[in-house]
Amino acid sequence: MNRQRWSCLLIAFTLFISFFLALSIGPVRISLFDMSATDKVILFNLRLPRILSAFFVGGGLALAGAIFQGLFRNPIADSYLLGVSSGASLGAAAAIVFRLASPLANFAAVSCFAFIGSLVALALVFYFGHHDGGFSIFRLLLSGLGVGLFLSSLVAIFMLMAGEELKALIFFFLGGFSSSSWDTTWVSLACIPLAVVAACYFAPELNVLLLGEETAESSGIRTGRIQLLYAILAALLTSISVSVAGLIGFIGLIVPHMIRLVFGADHRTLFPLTFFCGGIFLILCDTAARTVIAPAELPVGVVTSLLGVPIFLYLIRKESGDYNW
Amino acid sequence: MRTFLQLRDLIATQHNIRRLFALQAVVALSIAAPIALAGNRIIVDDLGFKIEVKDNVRRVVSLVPTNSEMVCLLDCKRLKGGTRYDQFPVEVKKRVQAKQIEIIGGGFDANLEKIVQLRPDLILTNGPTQQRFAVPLKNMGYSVVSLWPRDMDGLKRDFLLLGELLGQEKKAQSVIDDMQRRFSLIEAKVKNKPRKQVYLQMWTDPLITVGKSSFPDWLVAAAGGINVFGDLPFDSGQVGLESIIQRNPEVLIFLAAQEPFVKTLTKRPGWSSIRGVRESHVCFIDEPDIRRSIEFLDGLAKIQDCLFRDKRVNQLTPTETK
Repeated sequence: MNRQRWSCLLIAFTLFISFFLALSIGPVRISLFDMSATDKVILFNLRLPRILSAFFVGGGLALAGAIFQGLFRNPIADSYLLGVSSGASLGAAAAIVFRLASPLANFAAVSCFAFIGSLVALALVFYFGHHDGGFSIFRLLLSGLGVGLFLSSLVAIFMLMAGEELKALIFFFLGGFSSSSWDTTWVSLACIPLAVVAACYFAPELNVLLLGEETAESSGIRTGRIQLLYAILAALLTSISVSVAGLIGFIGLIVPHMIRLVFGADHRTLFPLTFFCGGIFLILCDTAARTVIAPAELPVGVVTSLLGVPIFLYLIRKESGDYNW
Repeated sequence: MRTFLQLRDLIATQHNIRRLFALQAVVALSIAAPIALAGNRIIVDDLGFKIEVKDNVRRVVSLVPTNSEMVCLLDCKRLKGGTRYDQFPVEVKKRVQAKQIEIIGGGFDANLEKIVQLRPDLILTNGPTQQRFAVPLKNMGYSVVSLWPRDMDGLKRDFLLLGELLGQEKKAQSVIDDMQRRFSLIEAKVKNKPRKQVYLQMWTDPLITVGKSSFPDWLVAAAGGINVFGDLPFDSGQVGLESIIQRNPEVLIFLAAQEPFVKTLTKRPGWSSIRGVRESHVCFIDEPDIRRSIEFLDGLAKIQDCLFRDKRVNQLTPTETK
């Protein structure tokens, strides 16, 4: 318990430091104590929304990964498991190709269609995963796989039709925060905290559930509904993240494992810690991505694996964390 | 049941979300307000947007090399930011080296912070691909104009518009008049000649060519040819060797970088059955020759020379290199 208390303090401290660091460094040098009007614009209209997006998207993806790994008791499950990302991609692609929301007018509108696309994908996954009035978690997994693959092939067809807008589409899929502004940030600001609170609130039930569905049922837990709730929460977290920042790999897979290795697999601590660490991690990666070769930027996905994998491998070797599901 | 009650509660909090949105909008507006421009000229750009631009534009940032070129031809001193690919005219290169023009990144990875730091009165972007930069900049109150010409008329219109914005109308008009005069000469050369069937290859693997409404498609037509894939509904698209053989172009044009591919062309199965390859009517052009640039006439002349074999410049026939 002592270790946990220290860790919480450490995480709060790291969050503060990384936020401050991300705010103060960038391709343009700004002194936080002596700002011109231009500096203020850069700081409040460009860096601040970018850092907030990075934090919530990183946290959201990491938490979604943790949920899926717990739910499916599968270590290689990640946030894109249920085909949500394909749905988001399809939504964005359809919006661009059919000029529903032209990237010309408003990139935030494309994000909205990405979100709608991911909800449609989710509905399809749950429709096919539905059986005899209940949900089997493995049926859900398989239908997620199928729906995801099918939607991806539709995306490929749309990409062929996209013409000049093709490049805009490619950048959407590549992911990143280089064109973040307030109009895309507010989505993550408004929705992700709600999902995080809900995920943490039901964590004790999920813990019991992992002892086995029969044990859980006998403790009075409606297993099917808890599973459904978590699948929806994780998919929502992913779809919001994808619609804000495109596809950023790796975070949803590795961050939960890192936390599990260090702090154990109790979902009551795992979920909040994963959220905060995922957020901090993506803030730091994005800061590196936009400063290392400025004014050019590295794709943030490259940075996440480049920085994250060594830490992850070190932890596997070093920590003797309780590796139960 | 409890779960669903919780879910219902979640939905009930939606009006709170809405309140949060409203609050956020107020915050964003109050931050953005101080730099809103008191513009006094309203123009319509190539994407159909009405943009307010300050009367006396002093600081221009361009996100596309062809736009930098236009600004520089009119008044290079006012170009404060350009891309790392800016090469034309020579003055741009000099000013970049002398740090009088800041590099804001490339067309696909422009850096918003750098752009804002340059305090531009006018930001020039291209078409849809750069809207992901244009939209946040517009939301911050900057004048962002899209210049995305499809043909010579588009180039003329854009150049005159830019001349107007920079207060260089006369200079712009004289450049355009000169361009029109040279263009008429090039056009006259092929007036009564039958049009050549042309295949223009942009990429070797997969085979990518240009389609309808692309700038190179227009160039080929202006030079006296017909793009055999002019019916492709995309700017550029992947095609199969089968359809190239079936359309049997008389002339094949490759980018200079594709030389290794072309050298082995006759050894590649199928290619020898194409008329242009059989008759060794194969040319190279440099990438800058097909840019949608105000200085496109040199490229146009090269394409015309190639189509009608006026000069043997830039021609490399597969048989010669065997």
